[in-house]
Amino acid sequence: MSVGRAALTSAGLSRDFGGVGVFDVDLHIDRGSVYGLVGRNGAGKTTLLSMLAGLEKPDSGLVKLDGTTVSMCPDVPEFEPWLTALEVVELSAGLGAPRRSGVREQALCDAALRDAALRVLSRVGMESAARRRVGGFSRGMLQRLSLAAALVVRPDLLILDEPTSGLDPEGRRTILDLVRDLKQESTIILSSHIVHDVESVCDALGLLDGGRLVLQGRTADILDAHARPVWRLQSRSSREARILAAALRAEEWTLSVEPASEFGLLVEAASVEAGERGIPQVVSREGCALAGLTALDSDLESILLSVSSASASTVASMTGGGTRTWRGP
Amino acid sequence: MTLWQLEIARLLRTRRALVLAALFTFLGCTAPLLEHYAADILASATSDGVRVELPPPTPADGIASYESNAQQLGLIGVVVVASSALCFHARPQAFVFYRMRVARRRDMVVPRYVVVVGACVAAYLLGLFGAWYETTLLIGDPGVPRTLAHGGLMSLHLAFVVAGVAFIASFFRSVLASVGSSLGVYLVALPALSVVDFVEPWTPQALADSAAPLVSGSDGLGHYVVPAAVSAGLTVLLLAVSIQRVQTSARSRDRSAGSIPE
Repeated sequence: MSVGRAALTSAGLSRDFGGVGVFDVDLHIDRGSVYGLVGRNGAGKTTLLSMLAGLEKPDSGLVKLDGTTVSMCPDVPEFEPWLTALEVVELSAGLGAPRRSGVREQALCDAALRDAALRVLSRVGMESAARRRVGGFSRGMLQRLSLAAALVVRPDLLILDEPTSGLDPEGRRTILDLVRDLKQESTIILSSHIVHDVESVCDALGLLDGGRLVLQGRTADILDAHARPVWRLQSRSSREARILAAALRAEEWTLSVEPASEFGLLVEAASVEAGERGIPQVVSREGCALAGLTALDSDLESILLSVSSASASTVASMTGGGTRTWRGP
Repeated sequence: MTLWQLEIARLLRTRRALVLAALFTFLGCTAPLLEHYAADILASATSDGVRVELPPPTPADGIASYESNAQQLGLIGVVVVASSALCFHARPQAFVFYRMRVARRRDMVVPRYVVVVGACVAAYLLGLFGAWYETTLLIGDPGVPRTLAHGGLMSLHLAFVVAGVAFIASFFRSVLASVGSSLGVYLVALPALSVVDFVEPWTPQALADSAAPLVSGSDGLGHYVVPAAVSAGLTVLLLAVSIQRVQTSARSRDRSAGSIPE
């Protein structure tokens, strides 16, 4: 999939819960990238992430990590409700830190951990809630606290299971902005069934369907490979729509031009590039107004839905090695 | 913050330590009182023409009455507090936090076990002090060394009870199920086992039943060497199995070892 140095690879990773689970997953995740794991509910995302985090033992296969520190944020974070946010992050930092021999040395170490905890809480926008008890936190605050507790150990690999589920739009944006910033420091695996989130932050993605990885590649490559050369063109009047239809049909790169809704046309081109260049030229040449031009079924969600549907009928007969991989140029 | 500080905070902030102390103190202060006025209470409760005569209470009765209450109501309190702390799988998402960070299984269990046992023993001894004080005041001095000897044996029994709860809790995903099963073992199965004559002298239950014979002087401490050894052995065994049953993350173990297997 990639030429970059791998932060994590897996080979033949399987965990069978009696017909459901995860089967023969081969992952390749570049160091310093954000890898999105998408799939329907029950596709096996959480099981796969649990195996990568070492929480679940695979039946077969292996995971190879480049780095020693792995942090995971579960989809529904839960902490001791009687601890403050600062104490949760301090605890997270302290559990991985070695104990010092002297009282003074330990006090200095504790002070350093507290400073680090406060910095991380500030980074996730929770400095004002640092000394509040976790019991009264909203879902969004718990997600951010979970992220802070994971970040304070400076992980080489950060695993986020559905980090934006249950959040309001502002909360989602905060988390996604954080994920974008974090890829400077860690490799991130992010699972989600909100494809728009994955599209906006992930450099690469894998599609799980029925426990199998049916698609894996760089996000841009997948979008390019699946983009259909069909556009909805919107004009300002029926007269202009007729003029444009006639002009477009006369072009040799158009395969079909059909009326669609009021003043609209569906234009199918021979290639994406021909349509992207040709349609605006024809509109300009004919002196018509362009009210709208939308590429159809070229968003990641449409692509993944079509791949997922296609794989459903074929995956049952696969015995392994069924992943479709898109390589970068 | 360390795991030890976390467990102390758990006991204090959830008021569990306070509840344990209040429960055992209440039991300790009321038991000798009830023993002292048992004859009067019975006389007022019986109908006309019926006369109940009780022998005058002895100091051993005062302590034994506390021990009897502690083995029922007190034990329920101990089991609830221990299950709440040691049933790791009751809150799986919270458990993930510890599994990802704590490398050694024993670090997950030992602080919780030791702090809970410490709180239970402290609460029990507080109640025993109350029982000794009131017994001395109302009935007669039971003797400090013999009362302390019983307190020591009962502390060992409580350590065994909490280890058993840790073992039972490792099989359940709910605190309620763990509490119910533990109470079934400690309130029904073990007392039933101690009814069997040839088993009774060496079961841990003998430690809990040591109040009357030990304080009255009919048994010496030497009589309890075998059940104490059995209790200590079972405590270590149950704790070891509980530790083995705790799952940590392979990654946290790898980090602790300083390498990732390939």
